[in-house]
Amino acid sequence: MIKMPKKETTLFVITIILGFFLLIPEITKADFFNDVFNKITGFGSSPQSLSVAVQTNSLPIVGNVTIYNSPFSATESLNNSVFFSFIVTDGDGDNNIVNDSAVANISRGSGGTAETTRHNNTFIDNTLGGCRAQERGLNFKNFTCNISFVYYDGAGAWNISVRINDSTGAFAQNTSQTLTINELTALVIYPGSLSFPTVGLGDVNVSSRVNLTINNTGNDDISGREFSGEYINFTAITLVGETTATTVIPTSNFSIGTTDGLAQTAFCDVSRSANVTKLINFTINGSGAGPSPYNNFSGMINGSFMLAQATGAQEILQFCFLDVPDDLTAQNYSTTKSAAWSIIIW
Amino acid sequence: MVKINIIILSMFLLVILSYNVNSFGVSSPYWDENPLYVNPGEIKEITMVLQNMVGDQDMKVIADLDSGKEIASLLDKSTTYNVPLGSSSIPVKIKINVPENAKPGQEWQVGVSFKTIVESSGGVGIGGAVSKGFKVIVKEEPKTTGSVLKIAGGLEPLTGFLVLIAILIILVLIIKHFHKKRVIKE
Repeated sequence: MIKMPKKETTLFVITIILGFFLLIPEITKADFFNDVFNKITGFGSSPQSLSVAVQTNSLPIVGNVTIYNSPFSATESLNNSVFFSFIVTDGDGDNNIVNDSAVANISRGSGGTAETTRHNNTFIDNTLGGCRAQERGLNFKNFTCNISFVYYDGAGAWNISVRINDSTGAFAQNTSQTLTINELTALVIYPGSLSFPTVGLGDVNVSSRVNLTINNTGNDDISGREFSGEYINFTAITLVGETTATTVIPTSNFSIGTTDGLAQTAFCDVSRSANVTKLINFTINGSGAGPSPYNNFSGMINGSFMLAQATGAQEILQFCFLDVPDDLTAQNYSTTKSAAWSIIIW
Repeated sequence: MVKINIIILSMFLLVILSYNVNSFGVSSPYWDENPLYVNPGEIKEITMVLQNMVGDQDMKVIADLDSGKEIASLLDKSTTYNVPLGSSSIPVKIKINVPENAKPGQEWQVGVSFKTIVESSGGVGIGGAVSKGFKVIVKEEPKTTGSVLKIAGGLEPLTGFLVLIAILIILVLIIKHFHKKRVIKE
């Protein structure tokens, strides 16, 4: 028997230990034994494919999409455009790339919450122009593309899809990029002031001469959902006599109603709390909830919402002078000596 | 007497009616669902944009920082902005200054309100206000996944196993070779 010297024995043992530690992580992997078995037997759950192709045409390849000036801002009540470019290469030469077939679209979401897909696609609308070839080389073309989007298209990431055909009809597509549209909170309010008809002391439930109309001209949904606080909010300040400023009308004498499903006079009925808001804040004091001592109001308008959409992105507010106080003097009352009332969107 | 009674019993509220159309909008690169991610000590300048495309008059808007004053400030000298009719790109610059000692995951709510100035013309003037808020969140440090020995990293399990076997065989052969040499010498 050959006796191994001590030095070699030590080296051999270290090697075995090292090998053991190297093998352990591989062997303990979940699919290791299955993999080994499958390789040896030829069985396997994963599909094995063998393809034999006779290449007669090089498919076009759409390279990286470059986006310019992202994120994009929506423009109040108008359309705006996104811009990007992409390079198409084709092994059969640039003449094989069909210019008119370069089309693109942007999309966002899926199912019921999906936004309307915006496109620059001559196959759908031949007046759009499609994407334009700006420069070319031996086997490539550089295309630029713009797509219009509307002011109520949702804020966030949109998926870009571009595609192109070669002269044989083979096509390539790139869906790897996204662009961002900023959030635009915008509103139109008219008229710029409210008026009430002449009233007498003790009169009740007097409607304002006109209603206040608010249009949502941005892409920010005011959904009216309780948990997100997405209501139209309102601040109202005490009306002050224009001649004698010591006489005032507190905001608690007014209510606002939304038009949603209500009869014309319902906005004076403060018991309809789902759609009518009395302009009074309550404070918690020692004896429980009581009226705010400030006679002003700041809060949400019950039942108000304005979704960002093509039609119906509107809320109409009706104002009611609930009760004319008996101690008023005959004069005009306005916000001239106090402060304007405000529609607030969070 | 009747005339006096009528005067006493009557008051007038805003007989003059203004049909002005007030319009304005604020575009922001960050909002509730799209927070701003920052690193500790980072200083960032962001721009919100004021628009007035639909109304029938120029607007004056006052900007005010409602929340997040510990890290955010309005950069412009005047915080009252003229927004002419037809404009869509009046910038409002906001500086975000994240403390050096900010911890990963720490967040602040920054809110900026924009309120229109209503010219006093009698009546109940109605103005508009938009409040834009967003979160500023300190980025989490990237987690490093360490492995003590990663000789065959990136290879498939079977390939890695075969490589290791090959290394072991080579090592054993080297040892045997040196051992043989030594035996022959002896």
